[in-house]
Amino acid sequence: MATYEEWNNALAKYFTAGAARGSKVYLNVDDDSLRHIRETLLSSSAMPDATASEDFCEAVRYHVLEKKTVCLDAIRGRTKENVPKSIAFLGAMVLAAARMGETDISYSNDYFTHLRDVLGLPPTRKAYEVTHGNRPEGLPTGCEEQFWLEWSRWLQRRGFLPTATRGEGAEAFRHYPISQSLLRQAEKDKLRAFFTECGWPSHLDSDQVITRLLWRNYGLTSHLREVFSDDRAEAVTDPIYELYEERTYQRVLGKRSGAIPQATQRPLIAGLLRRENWFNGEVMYHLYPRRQAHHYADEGQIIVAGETHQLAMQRARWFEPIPATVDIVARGALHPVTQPHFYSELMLPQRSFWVLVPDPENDRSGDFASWGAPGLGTRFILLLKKSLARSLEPLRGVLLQWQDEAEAESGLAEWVELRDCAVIGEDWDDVSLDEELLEELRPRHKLNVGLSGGLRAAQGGWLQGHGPDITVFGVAASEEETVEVTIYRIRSDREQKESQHIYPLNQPQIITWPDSGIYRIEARRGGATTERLVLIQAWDELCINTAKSEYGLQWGQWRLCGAVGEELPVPVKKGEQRV
Amino acid sequence: MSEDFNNRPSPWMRQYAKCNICGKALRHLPFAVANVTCRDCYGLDRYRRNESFSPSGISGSSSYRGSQPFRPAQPVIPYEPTPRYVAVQDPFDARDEEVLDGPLQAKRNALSEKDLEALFAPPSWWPDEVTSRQRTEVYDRLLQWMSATCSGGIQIFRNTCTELGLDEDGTQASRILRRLRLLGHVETAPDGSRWTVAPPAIVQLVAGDGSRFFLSGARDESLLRELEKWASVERLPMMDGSAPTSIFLTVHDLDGLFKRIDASELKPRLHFAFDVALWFAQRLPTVPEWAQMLEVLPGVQPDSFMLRRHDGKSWKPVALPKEPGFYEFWEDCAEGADDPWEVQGARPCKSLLLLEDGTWRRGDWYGLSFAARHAAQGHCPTIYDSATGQLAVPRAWHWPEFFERALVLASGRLPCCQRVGGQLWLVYEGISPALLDVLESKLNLQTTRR
Repeated sequence: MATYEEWNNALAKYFTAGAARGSKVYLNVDDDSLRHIRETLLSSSAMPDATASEDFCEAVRYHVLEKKTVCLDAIRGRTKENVPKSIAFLGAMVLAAARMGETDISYSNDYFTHLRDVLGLPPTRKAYEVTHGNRPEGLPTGCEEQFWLEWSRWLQRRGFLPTATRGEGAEAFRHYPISQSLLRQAEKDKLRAFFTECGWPSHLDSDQVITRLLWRNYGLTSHLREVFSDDRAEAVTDPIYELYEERTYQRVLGKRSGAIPQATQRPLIAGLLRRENWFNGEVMYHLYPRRQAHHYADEGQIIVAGETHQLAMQRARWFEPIPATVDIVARGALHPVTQPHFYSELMLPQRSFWVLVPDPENDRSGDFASWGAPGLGTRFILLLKKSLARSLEPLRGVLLQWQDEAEAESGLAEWVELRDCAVIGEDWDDVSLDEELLEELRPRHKLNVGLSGGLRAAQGGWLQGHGPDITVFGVAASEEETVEVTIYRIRSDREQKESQHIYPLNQPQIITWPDSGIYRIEARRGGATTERLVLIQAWDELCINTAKSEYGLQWGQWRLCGAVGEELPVPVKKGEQRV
Repeated sequence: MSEDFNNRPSPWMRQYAKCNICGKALRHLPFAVANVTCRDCYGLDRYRRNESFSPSGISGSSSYRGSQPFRPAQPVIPYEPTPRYVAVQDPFDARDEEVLDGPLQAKRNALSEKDLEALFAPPSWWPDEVTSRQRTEVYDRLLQWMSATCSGGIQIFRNTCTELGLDEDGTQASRILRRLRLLGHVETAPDGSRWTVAPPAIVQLVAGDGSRFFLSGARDESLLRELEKWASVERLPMMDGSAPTSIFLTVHDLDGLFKRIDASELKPRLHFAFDVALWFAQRLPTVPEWAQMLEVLPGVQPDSFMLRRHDGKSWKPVALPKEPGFYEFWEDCAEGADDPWEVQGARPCKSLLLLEDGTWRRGDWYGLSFAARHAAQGHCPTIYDSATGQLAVPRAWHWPEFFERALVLASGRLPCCQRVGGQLWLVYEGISPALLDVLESKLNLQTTRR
């Protein structure tokens, strides 16, 4: 059995490793994630007979409980790896939230009943319940908040956006674990049943699956609809897509149920990356493989048109793009993956449009790819079939705007690129359009903090003295409309308000970033709120990236790279021997 | 399972309220809500009642539905098209603004002893020390950023140069890259579209007793701090502040340095390069061989352009490219206007070299210009000061980047530009007689030794 410390460190790694800096992190512990953690990170110390959840709960009980009372002293402080000791306990609280259900199905909605169950505590005694409610003994109201705040600060110091939030009224402290549980067990059961029945084709990518779900409104509980209506929508995509993948796996094996073992092959889904030659304007499309969350494969091999390409990590969740011919846009692509073993093939789904947004890590790089849905005001490229483009014409100037319409590259006769595209209106409810395209274009938030300009640091964020400008995008009836922007500085022990401004909407504002550090920008207007994290890095923190230099002068059998000369090995012809 | 399943109502699908005018299902209202009007009907009704539209009431705004005419009454985000770069610079055109045309105006014989003294003396036009140091610091940051970023597209590099204030007008990036390549700090893709930083290397100077080195390639503060522990480090800004600081090391105990590096974390990433300038020079091709190595550009259609050819002395307009040489391709200018090359600030569309075999070759502008002069005159004039190890090359004969690397890698310093005897000269330092001998044979130099 893995110990509490092992689970604690594994949870910290599982939920942060591979996440992009500045992205939101959820401590989304449930039975599936615990199984995945045990298979990938704790395989050596797994208890063969117990499920991962039992193993985890047993470790938490053993460490935290003393005579059936929660002993918080055991989870205070940090481990020697500087990880808060409380993560596994907080994970147990989220596991309890994940086991909550909707009122219309056979799960109890009482959070603390589930928490007591996770901790292996008997039902409360009447006398205790009168004074303390259903809370476990040793866990008085609000005492867990300090650990949630510590988790949040720990994430912020590592450049992630924490997501655990306090609720209101009676929900105040219960809301922390509930806010972390993206997909409850009851919802998973419903979605599993739906994916088994729905008859959808097996080669859909995650965007297509989510769009279909939202459009049909199938299997969505009120909790899940709430998740999709706020900024958790992006985070819930992967867990839902995993359920969809299970269906394919079950169909192959002829099974009716059961999760996919980690060792089972699945397709590696690719997006599309568009790169333009700066000098001659030639547009090239690339396959852009996207690693699934929590799949720890940093390299691999893929065979495209008989040629082997190396898969190497480019950034969190994305492999290096692979050059491809333009016809992949229309036809999709399917290429065998030889390594790692758990990917069967690289798949680019066949679609009738691609929304290509600017690089979130460097908006001026000139690259556009399927990095996500465009926020309000963000400039992007819409590559789509001409028939779809015609259906967008009535929306031009009202909900959507674009600068020019360019014929796509030769080989894509029926396609067109809408360049410098922006979503400029928010009321898409009654628009009649291709449902997948509509869901991609429909803005999910009423406000969007855009960061532009400045000098990007390789490790993420911006460099000191060259921070970004801020533009808060939002629909405004007049140019005078404003938004309240507060900038907080995140320090090791607290968050400090740095400045507060009233800015006009949709106009870039030059910010003087005082020093290197991590800043949180919060924009508020009416009831809408949005936030973004900005990392300002000091120049002397930059360090050499030791990746191999790709280019150099090459002539004859010699190569000069920088100031390092080398003689290249002479290829040995058949029948010859090297001297 | 049939595809019709998709169109069948799901068992979990909810019933929705309906508009009491058109009967459309309202997706966001539960079925229990009665007497509601959809946005379209509500807006239409208000329109008929001639009510003005209130921007704050988004719920009352009209929106597009099927084939109905769209009434753009909603508030929207103001849209300004993103400005696009109109002029795209040839990645290989890294020449400076100075006009390089015209024959070599002055011969060696015309230079007096006083001129020669001035040629090899520190230039009088150098910017003051503060300006030079400030510019150098910015270049240091650029190299530091490149070292951490490792590689990227040319557009990111341009943006960075602009952000750091090195490229105000968007035309300097190619020149900056050229200088960084010469110093061994970076390399670029053959088509100029991407760059990558070179590995850090400690490079032995060609001249001297072998104890002096310079640092090329990627660098960061921790590397410099480590080097300062092991050797005497001298930081020297480039004379005109047009490149990162030159880092020179003086090492008396080379074996000791090797041992220390072996024992440090730097070992896998730090390279040593001994006599690299000489090694490189010895393997250089001759000028005609180099011209054959240039990239062939197929499908060139000269008849769609106005052409001018450099005959080794000056530019001459030509109708068709009949002879080998260096050609510039210009867009035809409007009727009645001057020749396109007479228009101030105009640049050619292409600059290509036509070889004897009829192939068009692409390369750096200086290189093509040099090839044309070399083909016409057969040799390249230079002046060498054996006392100081300085080599002066007429700027009109600016060497191809491929060959110029050997000169810059000899000292780790860019040439300084001098105006002497009515023309511009590039003066390289740290050139040993042995290196000069090799280069003379490869480039057919006509060297006057002082």
